[in-house]
Amino acid sequence: MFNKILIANRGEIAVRIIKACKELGIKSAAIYSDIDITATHVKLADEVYHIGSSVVSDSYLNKDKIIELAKKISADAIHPGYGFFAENSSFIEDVERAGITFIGPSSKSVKMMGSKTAARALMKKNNVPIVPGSTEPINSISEGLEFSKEIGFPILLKASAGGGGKGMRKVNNAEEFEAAFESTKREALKSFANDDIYIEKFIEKPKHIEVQIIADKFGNYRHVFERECSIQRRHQKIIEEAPSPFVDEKTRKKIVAAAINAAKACNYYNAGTIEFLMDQNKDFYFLEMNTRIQVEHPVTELISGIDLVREQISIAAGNKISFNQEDLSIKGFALECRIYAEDSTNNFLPSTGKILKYKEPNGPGIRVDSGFSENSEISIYYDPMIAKLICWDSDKTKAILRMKRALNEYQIAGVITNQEFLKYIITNGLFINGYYDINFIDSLNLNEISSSENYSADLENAAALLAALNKFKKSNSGGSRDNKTVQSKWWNQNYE
Amino acid sequence: MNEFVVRLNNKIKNIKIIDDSTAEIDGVIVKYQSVNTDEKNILLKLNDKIFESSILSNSNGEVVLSINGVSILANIKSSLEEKAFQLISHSKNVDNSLIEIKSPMPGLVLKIKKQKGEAIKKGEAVLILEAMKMENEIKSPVDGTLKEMYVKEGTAIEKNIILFAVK
Repeated sequence: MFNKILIANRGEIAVRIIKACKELGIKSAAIYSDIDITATHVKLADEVYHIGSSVVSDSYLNKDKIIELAKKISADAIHPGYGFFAENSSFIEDVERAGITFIGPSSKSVKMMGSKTAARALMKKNNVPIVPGSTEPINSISEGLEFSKEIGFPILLKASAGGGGKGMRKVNNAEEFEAAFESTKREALKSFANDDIYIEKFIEKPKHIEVQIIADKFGNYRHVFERECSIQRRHQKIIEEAPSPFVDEKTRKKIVAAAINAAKACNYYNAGTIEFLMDQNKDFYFLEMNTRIQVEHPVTELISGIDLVREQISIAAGNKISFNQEDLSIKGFALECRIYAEDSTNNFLPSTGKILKYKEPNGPGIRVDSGFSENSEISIYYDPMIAKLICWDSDKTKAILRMKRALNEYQIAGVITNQEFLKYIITNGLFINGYYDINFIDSLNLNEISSSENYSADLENAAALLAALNKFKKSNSGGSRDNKTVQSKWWNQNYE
Repeated sequence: MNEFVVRLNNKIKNIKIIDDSTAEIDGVIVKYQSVNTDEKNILLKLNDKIFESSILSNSNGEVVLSINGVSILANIKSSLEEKAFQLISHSKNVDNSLIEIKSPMPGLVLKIKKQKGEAIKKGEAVLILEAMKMENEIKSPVDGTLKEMYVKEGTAIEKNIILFAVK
């Protein structure tokens, strides 16, 4: 096993990896940018190193600084988490060249799956079904228009180097094509430093179903069942489930077999995810492969009992997968809500600021993977996800009730969060009964949600009274002594 | 100086502090207990319920509270201040129809989609603000005409900067 792992990430995933390191008896080294001095991962790691300013290119996306540091502190492995360098093949090559183990797949596998167009071609060759569309980048508006007319509008424009929902646009008709083509290219260049884009047929009402796979360096492949991530906003997942309520045993057999084929096609090792779109007939199409640990991995961990991060580290260190396929079975149901600092009533606009109050829920069946606490900064520099709230129970209905309870317990103030919005979704009859696809949130009347934000009369009265008491105390200054008298009365009253 | 007018969530509440365990809310007498657990956290017992609360900020009569995890903005005035406010707002003939839209976060003005004088519809994107690696459309909250554009493409802006005005 390794002696010391450098974690080239931040936020909740850095925390998750540090915890795995501690359980394995491996020293954890964290990096942080200026603004992240107050983040949780910095407080937990065995060693912490300031890496640069808050701008990502100077810190978490500065290859040279990170590899230099790993060498200096004698780290024998680097864990990239997700995002940043997780799927960057040139980073992996440089890490390996420095004699350090990358906790992830080979750079070759990443390259094969990194370009979405090349991956589509590879899947087609290996009998993994793909969405109809181009397997080559589209170079001009006229070429794209012609191709789109051939497969029929609506279509999706997608960045070849994209992922995580960024660099993707739906085009309904030929008139919209030019503007969408340009802005997708612009966003692709900015986000992925590559402006290749391609076209896919837009599939009506699909569900997003993905399969967790894991493979070692000895050619052993396992799947850890599927997840459903159809609840998305801005093409980014916010609620994930395992197993998918839509997938029956027969479909499960087919889709996990396709996922294993996909992983074998790129000689994969490490934990990985094969994403599919599934239409109403339960036919599925390869979307992309994520060659890293996934944000939503906890739901899989809760229904399978497998620690995916520990497994990743062990495989990178040259061990075989610790379990056999037949050892696994689906136990119960897990639900994850991503807690974002954003305004769901205003187009999901990110909210920034200092977290002034922070209290996590707990109790039976609750897991919180968080990266921040009171006084942490949610800044413009990084993704506005604060934490992931995961609930387990014996079935979906019970897990939803548990989630609702936990969302009510979760106290975050200082930034706007999507908690109310998440509550609205999980208690929506269509969500409870499985009638939804990836367009679910877009189909909601968001105005109705914003106007439904009515606090209880009790809460309003309490707020008004608090505000008044606060002003009253200020005008009669010297009230600090009074607090003590009030406190003693408080206790007396309880025994009266 | 124990009577206050609190505005929150589009409602007005009249509060009178009678003593350290009795208050009047909109004419109804209530029993309360308030315990400062530390500098900013307060446990408020109102009738038979406990509210875990914090005063997050307090300036110029605008108080931001967190109560049982819900953030609430309350505007507070003493009854005297309220009387003065009523007098001023009645005498002043302010042009209320001009709406200024502020930046919801720091970012970069990527693209300006509407020109000064152009007619715009409610919900129509006026400019694109790039922040957190995402393009965020800043939309007009009302139907009207773009009266003023205060920013230029390519400028980096802070939070709460007035971006444009619609009438």
